[in-house]
Amino acid sequence: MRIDIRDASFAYEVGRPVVQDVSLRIATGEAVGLIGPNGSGKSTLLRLVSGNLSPDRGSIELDGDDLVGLGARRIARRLAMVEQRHALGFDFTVREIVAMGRIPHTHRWTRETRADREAIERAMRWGEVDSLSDRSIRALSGGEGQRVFLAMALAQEPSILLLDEPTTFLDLRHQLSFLSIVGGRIAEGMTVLLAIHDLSLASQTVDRIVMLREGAVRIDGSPDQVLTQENIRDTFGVRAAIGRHPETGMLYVLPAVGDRPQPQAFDSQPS
Amino acid sequence: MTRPGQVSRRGATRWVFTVLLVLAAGSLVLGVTIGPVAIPFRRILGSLLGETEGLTAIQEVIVWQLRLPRTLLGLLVGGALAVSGTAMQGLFRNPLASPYILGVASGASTGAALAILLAGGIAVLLPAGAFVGAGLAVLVVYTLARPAGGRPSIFTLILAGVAIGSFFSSITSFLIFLSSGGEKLSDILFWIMGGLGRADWTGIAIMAPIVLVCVGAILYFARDMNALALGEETAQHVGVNPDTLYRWILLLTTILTASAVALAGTIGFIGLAIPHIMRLLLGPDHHRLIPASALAGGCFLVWSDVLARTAFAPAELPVGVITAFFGAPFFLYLLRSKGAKL
Repeated sequence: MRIDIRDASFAYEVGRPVVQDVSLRIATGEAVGLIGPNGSGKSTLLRLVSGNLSPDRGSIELDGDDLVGLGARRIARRLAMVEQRHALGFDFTVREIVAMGRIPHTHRWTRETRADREAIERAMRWGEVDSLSDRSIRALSGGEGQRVFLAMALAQEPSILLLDEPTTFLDLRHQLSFLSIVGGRIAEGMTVLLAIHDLSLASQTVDRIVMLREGAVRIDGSPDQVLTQENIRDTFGVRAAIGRHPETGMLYVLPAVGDRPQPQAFDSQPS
Repeated sequence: MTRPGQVSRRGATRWVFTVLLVLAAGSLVLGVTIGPVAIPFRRILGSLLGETEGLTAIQEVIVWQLRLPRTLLGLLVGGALAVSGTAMQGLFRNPLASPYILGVASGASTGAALAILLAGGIAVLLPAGAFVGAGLAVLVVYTLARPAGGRPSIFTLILAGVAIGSFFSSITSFLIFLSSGGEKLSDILFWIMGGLGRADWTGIAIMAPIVLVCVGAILYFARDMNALALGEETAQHVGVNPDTLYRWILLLTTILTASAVALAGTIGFIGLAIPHIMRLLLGPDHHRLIPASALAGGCFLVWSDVLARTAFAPAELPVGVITAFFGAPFFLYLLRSKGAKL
């Protein structure tokens, strides 16, 4: 499913836009990474696309339908989102949570159909949480928990998957296992928009990167075009070495620790 | 084999509901059988099933005009309070929420106290005043907590509820001060302590449809409240509109709680503890939680009331004394034995 963002702007407080005149077109099956410093507007842009927020100006369309007229339920049939962290209000089981992904597709009073059950089980296999089915979500590690919410999103059978820094609180192994699951969905043709801090992981997961700075698109292109020393210095104020993984040939970005970041490049906006 | 953190609820659900249904039937029997005046159970049963002989005229009145309405009102009020508590805890995603958190009880008390002071003789005005006071309190809280064109945050709602609650309590205290020494003072105090003593068929006729409709409507939102447990944004991502949910649940719980309080005063503990206990037994799924709370709250109030009117017969204890005195230790026991995983 295609996403068209046209001149979208959004401000939480009047006069301090967090997203400013952003235009992006994301084609069906494309996987796009959103990178940029804290407060550059990544999360806000994702919330505009997910329908949590409505743009002050401009428009966002899914396959040509404006989000404004769609309503939460119809949006939820088309796109799903995984956040950095999720509230765990009560101790639901893993399966109960994944099953909530079926809400947009099912009627209130009807029982789970076979199609629902299959979608839930498939999503749990994809998320590699099928063995945790009866466990309480509160008894899981952070990495397992994030995979549960990924499975919940996949149970929605969305055409578009939005991910807002989903690996921030995970250790290295769980970051990789999470992103490899997302990679599998990308390979199957799911449209993915992923905000992520780790530039090396971004370059290995997606085929197009949009670099944001102060709420505007600074550069948009392939990982090779975007992840250059110059762009990273301009946007993050950090000197970094760019290299290629000796086995996979993928780009990696290695910031110089101990180097004093250039202060002017750090944004002034709160995230 | 259950590993730590593994939850097995399918078996539990069935027996919990079986026990609750048996208890509810038992409560009806208990409520009409037990009282200061001993009446043989077989005669009562006969009368309930339509036999005209068997009971004396006085016994007839005791069973039909006192005990039966009182028991039914107990089931309705207890169920209403427990379901309101469940919905409030679900909405606020906080197990400490109670049906009174938005000032319903304080508003109702003020309304009732005013009604007693200004129109002590007119019986209808007491529940009416309580209902209006309760509704007014919540309306003020909601209006104050709501930012221009938005949805109030949980935090502001709770704070506004506390503030408005204290405000109404101070008015009630002032009204009590004004009435000091008179007969109206004990009327007000007794009303505030709560009880089923004023039960009659008119009250049941009003309360029964309200409880049925509101509990049904809250059950309608069960899965929305489940999704809300994962946060407002996540709920929205699966197509649940948090604004609609907030408005409806606040409206429905206010009607439920206000009518319960209007007919039986402010009975504490049920709305806080029953949802909690049911959640410990059944898990957090509101599809199960809401009907289970309705049954358990109703039974608990009827049993407490039976105790309240027999323990010191012919004097009657305020039922709130019983609900908290026996409920709290049981609640603490469950908390400890279930490992306090709230």
